[in-house]
Amino acid sequence: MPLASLADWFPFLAYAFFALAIPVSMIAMSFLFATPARRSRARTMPFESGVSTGAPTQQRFTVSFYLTAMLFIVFDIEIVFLFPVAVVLERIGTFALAEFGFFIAILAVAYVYIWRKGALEWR
Amino acid sequence: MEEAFRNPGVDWAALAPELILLGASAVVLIGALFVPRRWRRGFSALLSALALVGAIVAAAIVYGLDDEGRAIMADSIRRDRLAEIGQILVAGAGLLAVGVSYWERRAPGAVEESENERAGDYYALLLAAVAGMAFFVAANNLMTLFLGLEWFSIALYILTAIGVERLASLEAGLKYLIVGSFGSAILLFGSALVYGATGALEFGEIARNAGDADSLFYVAGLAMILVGLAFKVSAAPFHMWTPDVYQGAPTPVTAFMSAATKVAALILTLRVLVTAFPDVSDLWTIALAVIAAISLAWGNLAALVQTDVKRMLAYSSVSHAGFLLMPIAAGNERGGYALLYYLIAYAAMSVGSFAIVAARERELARPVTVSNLANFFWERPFLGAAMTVFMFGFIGLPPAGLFIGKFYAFTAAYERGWTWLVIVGVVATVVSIYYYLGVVMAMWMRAPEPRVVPAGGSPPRDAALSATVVAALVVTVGSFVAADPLIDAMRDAVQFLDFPY
Repeated sequence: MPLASLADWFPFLAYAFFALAIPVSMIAMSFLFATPARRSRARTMPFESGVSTGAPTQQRFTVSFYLTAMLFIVFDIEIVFLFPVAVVLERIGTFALAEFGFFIAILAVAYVYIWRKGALEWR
Repeated sequence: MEEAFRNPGVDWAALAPELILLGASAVVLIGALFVPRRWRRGFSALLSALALVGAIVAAAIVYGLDDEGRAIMADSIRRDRLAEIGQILVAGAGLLAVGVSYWERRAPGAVEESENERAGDYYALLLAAVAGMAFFVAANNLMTLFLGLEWFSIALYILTAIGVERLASLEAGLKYLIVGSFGSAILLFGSALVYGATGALEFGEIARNAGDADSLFYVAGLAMILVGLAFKVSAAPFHMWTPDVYQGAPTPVTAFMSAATKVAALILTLRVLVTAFPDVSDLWTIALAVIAAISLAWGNLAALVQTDVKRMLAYSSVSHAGFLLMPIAAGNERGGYALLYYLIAYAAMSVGSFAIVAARERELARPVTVSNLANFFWERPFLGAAMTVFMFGFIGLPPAGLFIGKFYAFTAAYERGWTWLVIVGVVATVVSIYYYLGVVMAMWMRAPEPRVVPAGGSPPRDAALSATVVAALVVTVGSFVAADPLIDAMRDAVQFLDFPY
């Protein structure tokens, strides 16, 4: 195995230079140009391409939304796995069918679990 | 052009331990929701214990069948004695952890209710973690390696945070999740680089293709895989999560984690380095030697100043990561079996000592410090005596198997020509005497702190915990008494590995 010469690392060096230079220059320039005297309300707000940032995001809402959304994603993604199996089912045969059944069984375990734990009830 | 699907053929015997544990995990998870609440804990614990015994028996049977190792299931899993010994050790640690976890509370209360509620989850996760480790130690390509690693790590993240009513447990869980994921991500990145350099995932093929690999990616990948595994082994300087997580996690979880994670991660480290990276053995042996030396220094020095016993044991586990990496770093056959032999005694002592901390914690209902272990021997002579054996054992004194384990680890490093590492190890051992004996002194000689006696007077009866401590003692002392046959068995388990030195 040939050992790498130092020249092989040059792209990394260039990459590291820019990765460092860009944020450092941004921070440095904000100190240079935004002196406290020039800070107005508009200037201290985050710049979102001219669009106002909208209502404050720290409103409280029930955790049930999160729970439902998470459960939806989990089951949704799992169902997505079933489509490729359907496409190749004939070619693979009983092995695929068995795997398919096993997959559904695992899904059922998860379903029974969240149901008995009361995660499906709206609180 | 369509290629016909080739069924790789499932080797059910080799997968039996994992399948038993996973099946039981699902049964516990669902079953606990249907049995009446007050039987929930007993049901889950009993079923888990049975499943773990089943997994040990299955692994032992496969061990008996395998005279020589072979790769199975599209070369993704290795069926050999090294894997089976790892599976037996991990399942054994799980079995002991079940014993530490299960205890009868006399007074019913709110905490007990919530604990009964979560018993099914707890034991199901414990079984899933053991199954993941059993899979991990048999991994034979980078994909199964990562799959196994994430499988048991995710179970452990949740187990760490399972005491949700304690803030420390939640904090430990979050820290472990973040730092652990970071370690996994580094390992995954390293795997990608190695795959990019060699075009291979299977360990043997990586070694064969290493000749025309791009050395830059290959070596960078190896380094990142090493770092990822060092996170799991909790070797310094990748140990920063260890004290916080060991301290914050529920003590039975700590007991399991400290023993089983080390066993799984170290066995796999040995396997992946020796089988996939023989070309660059000069690099990884020296890297591991340096990591071992740093772990020994850092772990022991930090343990000196700890007052919390769990935290002290966590730093002791960092320092033992150093002792355990030493034989791998030696890269010779003696190192291979020294590691396995050391792990047997270490795992038993680790679970045993945390079990005793758990007993004291239940008695006092607050964190155990060295000073509130005062008079422990005279209050509970059996547990005190067992703790004394474990503490002397951690130093490396007989009648614990670590005496011989340390001797072999040092010999392996010496045979490699690394006298400096042996000197670091000996100095570390001398330093460690101070804090291990501090515990012994407190238990035997210090007058008890004035404290409110818990209602009910006598300490809680923990039949399961006492049985666990007995089992841990039997393995600790037994590995010393039966050192010859054990070392022969371990030598037999590593003989198929082509050690570079």
